[in-house]
Amino acid sequence: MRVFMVAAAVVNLIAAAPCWADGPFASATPEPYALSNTQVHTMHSTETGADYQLLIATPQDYQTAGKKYPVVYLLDAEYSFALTRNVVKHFVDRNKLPEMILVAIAYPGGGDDMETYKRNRKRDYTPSFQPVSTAEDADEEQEQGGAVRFRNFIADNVIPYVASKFPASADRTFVGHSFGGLFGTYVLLTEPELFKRYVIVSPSLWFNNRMILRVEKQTAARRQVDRRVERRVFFAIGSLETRAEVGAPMVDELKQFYRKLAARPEPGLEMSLRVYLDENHSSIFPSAITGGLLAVFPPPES
Amino acid sequence: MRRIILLVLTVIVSIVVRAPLAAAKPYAIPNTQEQHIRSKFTGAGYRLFISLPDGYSTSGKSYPVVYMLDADYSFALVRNVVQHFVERQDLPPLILVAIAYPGAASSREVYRMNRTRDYTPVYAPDGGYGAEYQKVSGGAARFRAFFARELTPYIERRYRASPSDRTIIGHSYGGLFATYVLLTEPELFRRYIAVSPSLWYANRIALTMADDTADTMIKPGTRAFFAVGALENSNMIDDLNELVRKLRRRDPARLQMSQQIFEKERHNSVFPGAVTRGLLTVFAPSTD
Repeated sequence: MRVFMVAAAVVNLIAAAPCWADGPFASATPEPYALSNTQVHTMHSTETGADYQLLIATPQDYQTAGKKYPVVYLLDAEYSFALTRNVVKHFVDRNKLPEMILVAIAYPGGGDDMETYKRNRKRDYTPSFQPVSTAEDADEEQEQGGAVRFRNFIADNVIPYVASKFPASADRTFVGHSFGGLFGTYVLLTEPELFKRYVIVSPSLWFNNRMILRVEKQTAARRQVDRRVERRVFFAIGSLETRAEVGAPMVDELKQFYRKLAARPEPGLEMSLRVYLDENHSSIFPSAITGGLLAVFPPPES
Repeated sequence: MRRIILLVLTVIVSIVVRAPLAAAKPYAIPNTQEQHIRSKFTGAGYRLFISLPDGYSTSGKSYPVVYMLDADYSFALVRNVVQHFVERQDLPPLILVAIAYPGAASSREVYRMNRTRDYTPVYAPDGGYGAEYQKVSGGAARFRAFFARELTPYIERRYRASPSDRTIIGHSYGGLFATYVLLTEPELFRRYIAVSPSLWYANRIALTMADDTADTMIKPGTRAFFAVGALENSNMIDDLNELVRKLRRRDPARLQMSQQIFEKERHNSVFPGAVTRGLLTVFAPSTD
């Protein structure tokens, strides 16, 4: 009997060994800066055929608090995750946002290599195939239009996975910028209840000859059914955003799109649009994610 | 026998249960490191969060260094903003150094006590977080000495950091500290980003100090960016306007001033947008 007790202790010790082994050697080289209360998970999608990392931030005591938390899903994780995590912590500490779980969807290698990052996001975030005009873009043509598959991956795999590992409530938020904002707009139109809150920053509505306008029209009747689900959408764009090559300022495009949505009111859908003064396409996100989260989440009850 | 099987099962389960815990690593920001330093001037220990540019280990180049206060909030945020703009060639590659207090991320008291001690220029019996915290106030001269004589030499010895191109970023009390350094030892940094500085502090002592800053103390090419949210208390905006008016009287060849009032932003929401604009402004190619 005692032998087995000892055996159990030894095996436990071995299982714990990696932590212990780090100790004496850790000071030789400086540790990288790790965000507290975060975890990295990996997933593969048979739907998109790609590998993903989930960068997850939790409230400190999520395992013992006995609460369920809203979950905020973010695209373009290498840029959005650490930034949003700090903004959220800042406001949670000040009781201006509820405690929440953040899940940012990253591509392995996307942090080091711009090409990997660009190829993956274009494949996953764009809703349709856009014929390309020049030979040098021909490679890109092969890998786009995957938004339906990516949406299914989020709905069928990511959300259930997060729910299985964390105390996640059904209060889900989407955050996306640029192509990520286009993807969010596409989800809002095609599977509106996947998220309760949407922060859509500088969406690429120009994509593929403004195909999103056709999607808006096609889905209008379905969207206007009263599902008795309240949702909040925050759109943001920088006042300096223009896209000369398609001949239309993104600001006007978004305003027009917003008016179209407003003209077909959806029961339970509350929308706002904020134009950020003097921001451009690459500078707007830090301001917009801050304003966006404060806009879509009501302040916590104190 | 059954007890033995049960025990073996317990062992197996304990291994299996342990596995996912070990697998879920925290998210470490690429190309960062953490160091520790103790200051003789302030008597305190500091954690340094450091971010190095991509390709640092092989480039052989020297880089400008951006120092920032309130590290637990600023570091990861600014690092991602900088990375975003460096990739798009809108900012030069930079070394980032954020100064944190051990324990401050999880304790509001530790955070408040430390920043009150280090960031405020004089002792004041009340204001800020209240009398209890103000007891330790007034340590900015010592904290400035830590920067000048301990921290910047440490960074410039250990990393390929350009001594002639240092930036400081501070918000609120941290913005007050950055302003204080600009007014008292301006050559310490080349670029200053002060967001919502607490100019009300100690009967607006920073505004008084601004009258005493001699032009000759300021190195030619110094740049400063000040920001405040349009929805902050009106005295925050008025005080900043007054400071900026005073500083615009300095020789513009020595001190290039920018000011921005961010519409619809409050004291606690202005920083992400302001630091983004601030970095782009103070590192913008010179117009002359």
